Amino acid sequence: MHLVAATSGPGLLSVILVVGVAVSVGVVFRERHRRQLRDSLHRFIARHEGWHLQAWPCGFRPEFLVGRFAATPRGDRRYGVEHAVGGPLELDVDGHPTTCQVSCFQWFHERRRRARNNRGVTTTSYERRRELVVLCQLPLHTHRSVSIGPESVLGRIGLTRGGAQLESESFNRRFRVEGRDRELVVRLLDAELQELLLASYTGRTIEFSDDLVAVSGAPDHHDGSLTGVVRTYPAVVQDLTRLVRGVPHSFWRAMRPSDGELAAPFERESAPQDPSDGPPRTGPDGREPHSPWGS
Amino acid sequence: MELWLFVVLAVVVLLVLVILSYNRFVAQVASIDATWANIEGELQRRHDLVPNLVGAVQGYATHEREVLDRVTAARAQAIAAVPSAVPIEQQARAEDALTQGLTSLLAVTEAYPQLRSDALFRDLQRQLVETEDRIAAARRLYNLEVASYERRRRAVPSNLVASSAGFPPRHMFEIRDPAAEHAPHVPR
Repeated sequence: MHLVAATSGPGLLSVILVVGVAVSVGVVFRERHRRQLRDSLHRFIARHEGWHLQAWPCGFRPEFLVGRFAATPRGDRRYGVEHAVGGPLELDVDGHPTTCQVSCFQWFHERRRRARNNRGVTTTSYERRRELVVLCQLPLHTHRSVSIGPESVLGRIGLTRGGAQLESESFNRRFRVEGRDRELVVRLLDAELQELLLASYTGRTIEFSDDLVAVSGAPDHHDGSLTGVVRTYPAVVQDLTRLVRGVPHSFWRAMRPSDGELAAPFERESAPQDPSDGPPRTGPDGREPHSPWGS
Repeated sequence: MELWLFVVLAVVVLLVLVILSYNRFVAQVASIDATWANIEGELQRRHDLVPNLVGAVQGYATHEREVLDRVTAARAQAIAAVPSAVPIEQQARAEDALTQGLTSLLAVTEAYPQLRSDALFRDLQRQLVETEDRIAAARRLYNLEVASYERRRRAVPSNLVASSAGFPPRHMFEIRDPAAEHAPHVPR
C-alpha cells in the first residue's frame, strides 16, 4: 500500500518524465551520430571516383571473410560488416599502375562474457568488438598466405619466438611472421619492406591470403574533418597504397603466371552497393571466380 | 638420502637439457644442409641456362664475341667451384663473376632490338630472373639458418655442447643479388 502510494501521483509522473527525457536525449544523440557517420561516409566516398557504400567488402560475403583473417574472427555469436565503402583504386603493383578493388570496413563480432554473482547465479552477456580493416583484391592468384602481425609480449622481450625469423632483430621483436612457404616470406619481406613496416605499421596486422590483402588495426593518424570510424579510412587507404608499392618485385614475380607479364589493368565491375541491389556476385564457395591473370 | 635424490634429479635434468640442445644442433645442421642443397639446385639451373642464353644472343650479336666468351668462361669457373670441397667464399666469388658476365651480356643486348623482341630470348631472360629470384630467397633462408646456428654455437651454455660434440662453424653465402641486376627495370 505504502509503495503504491509512494509511486503514485506526482512522484510517478516525475519518474516517467525523467526517463522519457533521458530516452529522448539518447535517441536524438544516436540519430545525430548516425547522420554524422552517414555524412562522413558520403563525403569520403566523394573523394574516390567509383566508390560507394557496400554491403559486402569487395563483393565477399561475411561468411567468406569470417575466420580467414586475424581481424575477421567468428566470435561467439554474431559477426558481420559495418560501414563498408569501397571501389576501384589504382595501386602500384610491381611498378605498374593497376586498378584493384579496395574496401574499408569495420568487422564486428560478439564475445561471450559469463559472470557469477554472490548468490551463485551465472549471467551471460555478449560484448561487441570491432576491428578496422582495409581489404584489397589483387590481380593475381596464389594458394599461399603470409601473415605479419604484432609479436606477443613474451616474444618482444625475447623469451619466445614464433613464426619465421628474419635478419633484423628489431623487426623480429615487433612482428610475428607466419607463412608455410618460407621462400615466399623472405621474398616478401626484403630489407626495404621490413624498414617500412617498422616505421609505419607497428601494431598492425597485414595478411596476404590468395589474391587478397587485408590490413587491420588502427592507424596512428586520422582525418579530423570526418567522424566516427570514417576518420581513419583515408589513413588506411593511404597505408594500403604505400604497402602495396613497397612489396618487392621478386614477390610479384613469384605470384605472376608463367606468361611473365602483368595483365592489363584490373577491370572489374563494382560490388553491390547495398543488399537491395541483388545477391553478391560470388561463386558457389562465396567468392568471385574472376581473375585477370587467371586466363 | 634426500641430498642423493636431489643430485640424481639435477643430473637427469642436465642430461635431458644436453640431449635437447644436441638434437637441436642436429636439426639445425640438417636444415642448413637442406637449404644449401636448394641453393645448389638453383645455381645448377642457372648454369644450365647460360649456354642457351649465349646461343640466343650469338644468333643476333655476332660481333660481341668477347662478352660471350667471358660469360662462357665465368660459367665454367662457377661449375668448377660447385664441389663441396671448394670453400663457400670461393664459390660465391665464382657466382659473382658469372653474375657480372651475365649483366654485361644483357647490357649488350640493349643494342639489338630484334634480339630483345625475340620470344626465345625473352623467355630465357624471364627464366633467368626467376631462377635468380629463387637463388636470392634460398640464399637468405640459408644465411638465416646459419646465423641462428652460429648464435647457438657461440652462446653459453649451448657452446659447450657444440664444442664437445664437434659441430663445425658454418659460413654465410654472400653474393651479389643477380635478380636485382637482371630483372627488367621497374620503378619502386
